Amino acid sequence: MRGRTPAAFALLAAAAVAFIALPLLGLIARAPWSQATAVISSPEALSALRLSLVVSTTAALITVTLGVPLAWVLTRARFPGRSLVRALAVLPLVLPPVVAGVALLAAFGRRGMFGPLLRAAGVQLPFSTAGAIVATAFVSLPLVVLAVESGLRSLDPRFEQAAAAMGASRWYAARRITLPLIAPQVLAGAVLAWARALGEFGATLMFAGNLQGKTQTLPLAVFQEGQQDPGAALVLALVLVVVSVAVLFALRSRVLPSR
Amino acid sequence: MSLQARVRLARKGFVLDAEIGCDRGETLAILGPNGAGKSTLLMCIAGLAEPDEARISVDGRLVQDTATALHVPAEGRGCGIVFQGLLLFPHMSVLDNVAFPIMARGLPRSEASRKAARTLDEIGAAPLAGKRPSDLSGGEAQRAALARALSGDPRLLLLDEPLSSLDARARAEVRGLLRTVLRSFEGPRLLVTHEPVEAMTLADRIAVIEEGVITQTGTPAEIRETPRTSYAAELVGQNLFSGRLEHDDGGTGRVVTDEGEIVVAWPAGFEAGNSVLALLPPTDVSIHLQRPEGSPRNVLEGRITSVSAPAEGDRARIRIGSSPPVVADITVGSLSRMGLREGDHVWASFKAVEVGVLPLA
Repeated sequence: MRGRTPAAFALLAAAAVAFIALPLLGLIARAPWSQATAVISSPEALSALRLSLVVSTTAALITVTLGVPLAWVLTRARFPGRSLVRALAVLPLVLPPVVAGVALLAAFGRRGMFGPLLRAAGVQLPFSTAGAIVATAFVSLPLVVLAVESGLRSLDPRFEQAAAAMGASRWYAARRITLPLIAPQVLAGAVLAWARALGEFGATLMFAGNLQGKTQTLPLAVFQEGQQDPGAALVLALVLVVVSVAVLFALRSRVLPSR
Repeated sequence: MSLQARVRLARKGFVLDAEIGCDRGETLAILGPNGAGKSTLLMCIAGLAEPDEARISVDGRLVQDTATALHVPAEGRGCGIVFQGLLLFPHMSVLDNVAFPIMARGLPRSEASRKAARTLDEIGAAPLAGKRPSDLSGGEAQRAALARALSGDPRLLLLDEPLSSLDARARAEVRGLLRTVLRSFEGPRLLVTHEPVEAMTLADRIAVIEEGVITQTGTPAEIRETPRTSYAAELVGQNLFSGRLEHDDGGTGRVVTDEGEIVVAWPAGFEAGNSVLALLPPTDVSIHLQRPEGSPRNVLEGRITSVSAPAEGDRARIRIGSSPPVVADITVGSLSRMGLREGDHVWASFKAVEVGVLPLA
């Protein structure tokens, strides 16, 4: 049986829906639809869209590659300072993105702590696409860690015990049992990280700059157009909405709980 | 002895301190109430629990010795396990589940699948190969788990409450299969259970465990005749007759065993010719010095082959060499009043309705 809902909650929930829906409605209502085709097909918009997809997808792959092992260690390993590491792992989630950008500059910028080292290795992060990827991966990593952690915690540990008793090495058990069983949570984390990376603005602007074709992702293009051509900004913003909704829709059954 | 295990483990006011041994080709049942520590003992042997002190050897090879910090991890112990709750991997087909222990040893998938299919076939579960664990009935899942425990050629077979999750019908069917599988497995076989009937019907020897301590070890007959604790008396004390169910007159049936027959109330849902297991609590058996008059349908005659005074409790256990032989529990008072001794000629009687009948596939 379903629980009953107090009237006050029903009202507040309706307000929440309106709160989310109204800005989107405004976007659709105010967008200059006659210019839409011209704006979208402009070289600036196309390069920003392409760059956004490249940056967010690469960042999502990096966060999964690093985030799954980190979540694993945080849930399974016992070591001194574990709670400190865990706090550190989720810090980018609460850190203002601009601060993240400044911190990245201080570490990996040309005059940053590791700047000379990177230059010697022939790597340039600031004001490059690689830099935009680093900035977005930095802010979205915690989303993967949190999702995978919850998956690992809710997994019955006896499945792995059973695998071990049947002769499976740790790596074999991880590959054939644990990872497949937490695949839904890994995917959910990846999609959240991807969406966060797609919308990333502050850290990217601070660390990678706003160079068209190199680091100017869609959010940065929206910001720039917002100051010069508000109508174009609305169209580009709608493009972001469409891309995000499309991905969420494609993966809805796997990412969003069905009930 | 092919399996030797001495394990000590203390957790939150509970102490497991047990030593067991099991030969090759022998089935040892570890029988005890819930919370007695029997599963923990099994997990220690498998290397899945961390005992405080342990010395465990399989086939003469030490796999754990806390005295010398020797510890072979679970994956190196060669145990085939049927877990409580089975733990079939939900994301794999039955075939892949059964192939898992083979592939874990590094064999290629094709070879592992062939061997897994063969194992499934051997226990009559070939049609399950392509199914997912979530699509299996209780009995089918049990077969799949059994096949997975056997497929990796284990040195040791460990079964943790293998029938507990099944309904009566599936239980009879799987019990029959278990008996065949246990007999054909050549290494030591360990069966953890809280069901005396399982222990009595499947095991060669029984170790009774209570509150973390083994209180008695012996063959089912030995424990039935001379239970050392009241728990063992109550649990293993059942008279057990396996035989064929036949019609008798007037709504009753006969269980025909190799050693004689007894009369039972006809059990619902059974047919004549069914293999059955008849259970009779020793407390329901009366002893008489003369042939009893009156209503009991079962009157058996024979000499007393043993009388054992209890270590605790007020009931003595008497074994009578009738056809079939029965065990009776009578109070110490009536024992001395009747002056019963070994060799005395007596009659044992019990009502047909006191006998429980279980299917035995």
